[in-house]
Amino acid sequence: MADPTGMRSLLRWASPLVTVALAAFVVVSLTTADPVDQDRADRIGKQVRCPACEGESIAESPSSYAADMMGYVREMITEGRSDQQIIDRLMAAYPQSQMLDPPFQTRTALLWALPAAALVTGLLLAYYRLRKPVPPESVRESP
Amino acid sequence: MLSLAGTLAVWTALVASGWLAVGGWRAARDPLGASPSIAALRRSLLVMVLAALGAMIVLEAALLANDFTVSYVANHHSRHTPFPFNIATAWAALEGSIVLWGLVLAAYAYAVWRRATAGGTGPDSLDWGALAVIGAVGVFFFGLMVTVANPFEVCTEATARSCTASSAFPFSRAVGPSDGLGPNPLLQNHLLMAIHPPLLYLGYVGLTVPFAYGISALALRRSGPAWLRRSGLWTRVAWVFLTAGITLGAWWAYEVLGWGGYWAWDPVENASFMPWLVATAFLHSSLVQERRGMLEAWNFVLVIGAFSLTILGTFLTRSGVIASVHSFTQSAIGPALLGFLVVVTVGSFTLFAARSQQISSPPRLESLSSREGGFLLNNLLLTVYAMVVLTGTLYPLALEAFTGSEVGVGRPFFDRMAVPISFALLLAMGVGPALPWRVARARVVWPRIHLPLQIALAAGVLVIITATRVGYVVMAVIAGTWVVAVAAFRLWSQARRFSRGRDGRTWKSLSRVVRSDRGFWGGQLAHAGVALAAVAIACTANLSQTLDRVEMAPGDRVEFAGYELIHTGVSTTRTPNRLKSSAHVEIRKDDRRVGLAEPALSQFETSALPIATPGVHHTLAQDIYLSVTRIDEQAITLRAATAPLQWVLWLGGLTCAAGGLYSLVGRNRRRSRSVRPTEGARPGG
Amino acid sequence: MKKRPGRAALVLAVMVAAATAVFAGVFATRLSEDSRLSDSPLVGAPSPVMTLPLLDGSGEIEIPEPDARVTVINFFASWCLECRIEHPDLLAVAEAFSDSGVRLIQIAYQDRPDDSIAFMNELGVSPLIRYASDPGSRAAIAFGVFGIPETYFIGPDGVVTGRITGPADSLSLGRQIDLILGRGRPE
Repeated sequence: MADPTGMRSLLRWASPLVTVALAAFVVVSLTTADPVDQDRADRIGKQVRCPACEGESIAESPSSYAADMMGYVREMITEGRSDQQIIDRLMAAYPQSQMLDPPFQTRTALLWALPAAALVTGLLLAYYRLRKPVPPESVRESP
Repeated sequence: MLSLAGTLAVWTALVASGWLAVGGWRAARDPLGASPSIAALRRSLLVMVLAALGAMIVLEAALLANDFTVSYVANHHSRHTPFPFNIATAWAALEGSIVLWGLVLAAYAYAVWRRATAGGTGPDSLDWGALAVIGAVGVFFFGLMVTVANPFEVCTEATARSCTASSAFPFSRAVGPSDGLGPNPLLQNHLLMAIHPPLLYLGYVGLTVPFAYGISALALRRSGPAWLRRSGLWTRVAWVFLTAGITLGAWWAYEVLGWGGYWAWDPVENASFMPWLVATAFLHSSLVQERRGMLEAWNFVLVIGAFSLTILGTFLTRSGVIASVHSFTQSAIGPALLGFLVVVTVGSFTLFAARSQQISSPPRLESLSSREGGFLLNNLLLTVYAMVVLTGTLYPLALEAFTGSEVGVGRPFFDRMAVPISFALLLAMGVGPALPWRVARARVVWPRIHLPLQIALAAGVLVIITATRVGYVVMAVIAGTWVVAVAAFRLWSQARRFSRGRDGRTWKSLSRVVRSDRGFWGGQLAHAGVALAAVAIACTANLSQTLDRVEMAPGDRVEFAGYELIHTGVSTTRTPNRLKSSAHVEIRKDDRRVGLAEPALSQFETSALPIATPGVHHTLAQDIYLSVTRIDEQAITLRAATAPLQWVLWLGGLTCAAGGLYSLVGRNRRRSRSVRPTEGARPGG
Repeated sequence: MKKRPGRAALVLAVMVAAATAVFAGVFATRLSEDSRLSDSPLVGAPSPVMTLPLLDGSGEIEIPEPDARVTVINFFASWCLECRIEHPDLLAVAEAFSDSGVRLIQIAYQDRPDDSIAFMNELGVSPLIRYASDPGSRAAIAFGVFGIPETYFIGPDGVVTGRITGPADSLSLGRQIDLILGRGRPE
């Protein structure tokens, strides 16, 4: 870099300071921000697959049956039921596969474990390759 | 008549692709001895292309001529299907989509051949091997067209509106209904439906070519840069189409499906996204092999994986094992695709394993903090991403098959997993391009990124002060700005270096720098597209306001997101196959009318539930997205949502595709500069 | 493992090939099924208990019917094409089994009462069948309706014994009812 020397030394000191200051501001503002209060009915509805449509949750689906299900959810909220109670009652007659959010259970363990295993395997492979002694100017061996 | 022509065309294409597979393989094994038959192979290739094109033309002709004796037309077309949906009907249902598949595959075969002969030397054995593989894939798909997915069957028994029995024998006595039921109502609602599937197929099918080169190289024991460069080129081609196709697909979902979203982690969407992720990984890791001679085995895995995933996706969406918004449910084709998937995957990986001793990928990574280390990280993240999507899509099926217990895996799961991976990818995108090859020292990297980092953080501060403190949005803005700023900063400093010593100004050198390495700068443009998309996704997901289902009588008004919505009336239009009721909603701001939206419900005579079409009012800051769940004279039930910066998502997706396109335009120069096959370890910078 | 980059590749290749083969087996079992029709968790469980307004607004009805040995619940709508197909069979079954204490209730699903009434008047009504509307779809939710027509069978002990999705015919209706009556006979 061919900046003037004075400029350069100023930058060397000022630049990290500015970076740290900006980062601190961002971190502080984000950690102190009020949590977004999401509509409870919406949050519950997003976990339930709409039976009358395909692939959409009842919170999002424009179908009138989904609207009725959401209405039921709201009614149960005003009755003061817990999220789990609401889901249990709403889905009493529907199979588990209508839920969009898989629970943490032994039967779903692989669902979470497989991607994690892929990540760990990849990291181990990368580490293994890195650790290997590197011939300084090894030439590509052609087949 | 048309049945006969179509059947002939498909059979011709089948025979020609079989000929290409066998002859191409012989030519590959013995490129010199086969030279007399090269003319014959070229002819068979041309026949395959023309026959596939002929089949498509016959199908379109049957649709346009309302020839209901053709089973496909009888089952998927109606006299009243308007233009251009009558054209698009040719690929809107299962059998027709396979015809389009065959045509695209044949077109790619022709393009590969043209490319291989462009240098005047003629195809070498690697090219012949690849053409043979494409021919073999063609045999499968044209084979489908004459067996389980035959669109040209003759309708032999018919009721008034549909064909109840058909025969593959083209001389059968033809009986056709007087009219058909028409295509799936969802698919005749928007113009995008006519464009998006062909684009997606160009991407999907295009991934056959890198696979073909990979298999050719493995079978012929010709690992090295030659197959890689050709696979890389064709992956880029397919990737551009795939990116554009996925973007337009999301756009279609947004404009048509009426639920206000654009991506639902639906199996069909996942089916196109997984190959995209793997192809993207390959685009990056192929660079590592090209520059440093590493990762060749991994590159083979990626090209085989990307193609296998396209077949898996085709199977998932066309066999009916998973229900979804736009899957074709027909089970006859399922076993065939499943068998093909097994043959492709097991066969390819067996070949790969058998040849693995000959694949030389010396482990020469000197440091993880280097450009190649960055690519390694990128590949790891993209692979894990694809793994998440694959696991999430297949897990319910597998669990039910093994244990009988049911579980649903949907949007909450995918969002939870995809968000952190996506952020990690964005950060990698910001650092990676600033890293030099081999070893990155902090004193080299820091000057390249510290100013962009400050700009990015400043952008984050600006967003916090002026707009929102929602974490995901701020972080997406910071990460996105950083990605763009790193690229821009690098561009500027290279241009400045370039112009020094010449009399030119820095900005005048910009275009020269950009043209000097189209691969890199096309990639940076694609990164910018991803960054834009990320910001848009964060905004639409976190800053959207919604108004849930209000009853509005004519004349009612409701306040929403700083606007006033007024229900001004309802109109109905009747077309022969549907009754469309539209609500007229005036959108006012500050007592001024700014727009009129017409969300509608269409009752098709062939489908039970009405199909909702949203009415969208577009502005620069946000879309006002209106949909109705009920319409009658007394009242409508309206849903409203804002979609902040929604258009930026489409812009981002298309920018991403444009980046890929830009890198393609300049490939010739780079190729001609480096014809020597042993262009291994060039010091980069 | 020293100088052989092929080893990891080999392991990976074998794993992928094996996984594919396993999944192919899994899929093969699914090919003939309709993925939307999973078993209802309601079958074998006590029936939902509720009162619904009659379609014409003239009164209310209890589910399950208190004085019936078998209650057959059918969800229909005027816009449903397949409901037209099953309609004559429902009428016939209501007639044939009325002496055995079998009661049919048809519940309108996502339909305007006027339309449902017009639909029934067009296709024919029976005094043996009760017609109810379903405000807020509470009955449909309680029974776990996916798409209509759907038919549920409730035995004398108030337990749901079966479900038919899609148009029902006299044969399948009769078989289900016989099953319940046969089991309930020696009481």
